[in-house]
Amino acid sequence: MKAVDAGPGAPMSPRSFAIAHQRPKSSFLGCSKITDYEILGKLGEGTFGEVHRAQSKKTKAHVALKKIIMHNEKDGFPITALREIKLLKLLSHQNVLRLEDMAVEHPARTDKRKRPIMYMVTPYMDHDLSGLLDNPTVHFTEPQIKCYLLQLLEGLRYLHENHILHRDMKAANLLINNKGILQIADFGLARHYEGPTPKPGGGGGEGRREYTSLVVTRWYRPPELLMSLKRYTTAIDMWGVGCVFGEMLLGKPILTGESDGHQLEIIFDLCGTPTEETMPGWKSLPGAEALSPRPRPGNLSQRFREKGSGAISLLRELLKLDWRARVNAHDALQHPYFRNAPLPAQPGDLPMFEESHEFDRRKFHDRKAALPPAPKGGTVGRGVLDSNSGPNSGFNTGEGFHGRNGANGSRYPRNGPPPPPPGERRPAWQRDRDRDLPPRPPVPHDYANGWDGAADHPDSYRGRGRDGPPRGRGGGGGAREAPADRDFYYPSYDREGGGGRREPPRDDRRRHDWDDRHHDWDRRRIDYDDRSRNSRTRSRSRSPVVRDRDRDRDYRR
Amino acid sequence: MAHLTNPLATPDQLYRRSQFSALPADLQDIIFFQSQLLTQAAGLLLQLPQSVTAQANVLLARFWLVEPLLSQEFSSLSAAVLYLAAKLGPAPASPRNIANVYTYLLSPYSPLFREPVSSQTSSQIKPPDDTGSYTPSEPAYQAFHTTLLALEARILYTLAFDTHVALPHPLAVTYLQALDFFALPTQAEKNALGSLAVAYLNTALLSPQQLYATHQPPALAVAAVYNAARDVGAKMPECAWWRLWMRLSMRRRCWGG
Repeated sequence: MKAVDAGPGAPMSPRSFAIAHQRPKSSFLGCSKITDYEILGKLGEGTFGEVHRAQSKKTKAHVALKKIIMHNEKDGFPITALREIKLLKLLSHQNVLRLEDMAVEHPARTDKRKRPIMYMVTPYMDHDLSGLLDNPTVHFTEPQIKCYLLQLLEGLRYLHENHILHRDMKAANLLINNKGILQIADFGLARHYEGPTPKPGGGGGEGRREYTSLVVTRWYRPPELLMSLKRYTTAIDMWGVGCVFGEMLLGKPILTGESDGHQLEIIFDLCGTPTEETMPGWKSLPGAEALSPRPRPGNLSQRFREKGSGAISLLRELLKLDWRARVNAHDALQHPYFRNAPLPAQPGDLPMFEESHEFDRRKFHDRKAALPPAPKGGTVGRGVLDSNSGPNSGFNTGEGFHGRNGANGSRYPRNGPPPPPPGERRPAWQRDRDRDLPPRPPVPHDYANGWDGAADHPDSYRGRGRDGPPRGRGGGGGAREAPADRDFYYPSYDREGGGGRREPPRDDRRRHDWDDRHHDWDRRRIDYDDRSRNSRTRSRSRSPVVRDRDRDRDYRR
Repeated sequence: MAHLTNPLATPDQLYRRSQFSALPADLQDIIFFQSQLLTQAAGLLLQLPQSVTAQANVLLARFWLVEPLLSQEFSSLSAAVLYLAAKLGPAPASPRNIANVYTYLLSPYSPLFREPVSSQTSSQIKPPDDTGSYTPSEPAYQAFHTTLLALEARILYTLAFDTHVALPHPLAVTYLQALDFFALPTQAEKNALGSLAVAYLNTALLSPQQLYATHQPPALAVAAVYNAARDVGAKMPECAWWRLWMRLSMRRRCWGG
């Protein structure tokens, strides 16, 4: 959807007008075939399905392939995927993830029951912000935070100017590559909004019409949504930016509510209790009727006092309770915070990191304790997968990527270690590796503690990690080579920048702060239509392990 | 501002279209027109907004720029584009409803595609009580459903998943407002002009000349406003007023890039 440059004033002949406005020739050619890409391994599991890393045979570029699972065969192509594709095709901005292509995989001719599988092709990004922040060896400097925040605001300003609400702003949806470029991803919840775009100095403005308030992952959900405001505006995305900003400053999510009510409480702890001045009209919101919070001033400046007054001032603007007055992307970009020393870094100057995805991190913490409630609506376009034969198996791998929940031990070789407790999650590329490797050595009895136990046996694991047949890595253990990563296959990708020097002592890395990163896997997907909700609830009741699956499936690249 | 523009057909595609099949050109035109008409009728019966049905029309026109006219059954294709457009719109239509509507429209009891009859006789031809003759049987529905989904995938693949359609209707209304046509003295005049312009745009959807695949929405809107104003005999500005919008939309496209 690149704009065609026609000289604004120049008169055009009808023919040259037609040529100038013709569709790019390639785009009517349908889609690529999966064989145009060389699959390099699985990255994780997204909303619609798995994400694989691949290399284009034509351009040699590294890409991410996001599989679109056809769950509800009765309804054809998933509606959320269609909407996401439609939106992405209209967008073109440096800080918004680009949809490069659609690739189709035809199942083997012998199996007539299988349908073709579609993949969305986007550029490969090394990290997501959530994974990066969780990496204990990575510490953001202030210029770096400013650099990412600027890019995030630029991307959001572009989206809002194009009448798009993202509606799922969170660290896990912000992708970062090793060139320091940040891109906004996952438009599964995004939609066009009506009404005027935010104007400089105008805050968020008034909402023009009603939308569903069941959007945005809870930790990043603004107070007006928690109180069920339906006429919301672009300000809901700005609140998310505030949360992400705070998360970058502190290194962990700042508002980790355990329920919607609790989320509101901790928001009031941080920003103060709403009054008619700080949040005009809040009492008349449907969700506020039962609320009578005990008055408190808010501890934002205390919590962030080490981060400087500039950061606090911007954070206050972003986390304003009053959605009408909350700063918009336009004005946030003009905030003095970005003009005061230390100045924002240039993307190219930022250090490079070992790749880290939110997905990798799951194995680290015991998520059982932190399990958030199951989504109310359920994710559109997803249902429970059959363990092995469902639409989930791709690339004709035969064995498929089954066994998504930890309780299912099938992903381990028979003579391998016992399966980890259900709370533990191991990324899929690790599983794939397992198939290529000889059986693992026996595992210490305390394996069940998560990865801590592995630290006692570093040699065996790490030795294996280096010598295993398919390994492409050089000598220097990367920052991400935590014990549980022992079988992690690092493609030879920015190895130079890594190296052990950023590796803290092992004890430090243990239990760092994995545990207090409770995750809201529930991503409150709302239903665009009832059909998918029905299918979802139906399958839920059928499967006793669905909670595990929910968590696992909700990988956000 | 990409969402204000449409992808257009290349000259190659327009040329190739006439070479696709051995059918005479006039027959191809009739097929195109009738299929689009069928889509419109089904959209009405399904109570879909015209914006959705119009998008389905445009998608169908685009599909036939790439695929030969005879590659798929026309009525199934019409049903599939409508299903796809409705799915993307505010109110998705269920395959069951679509099956019912299309079975009825293609049955002998539907006035569509039949000889035009006078109003008296048409009221006499009542569908028989036997509903089986104009509602799908269960096996027929299953077959329809399978075809619908297969064609949906086919269409998406053919269009490279580019399902965005920008419609000129809102633009036409904006232009009429800007030209002060809604300040006409009587309500009747306002209505006449507005609905005539919209009627032109809707008729263009059916036209085998592929207007929606060869012109951007601003051009279509300007043409509709011009024709409508001329038909009603409304006084137009003397200057080349349409240039303003054509140029404006071009600029916006450059900014949006």
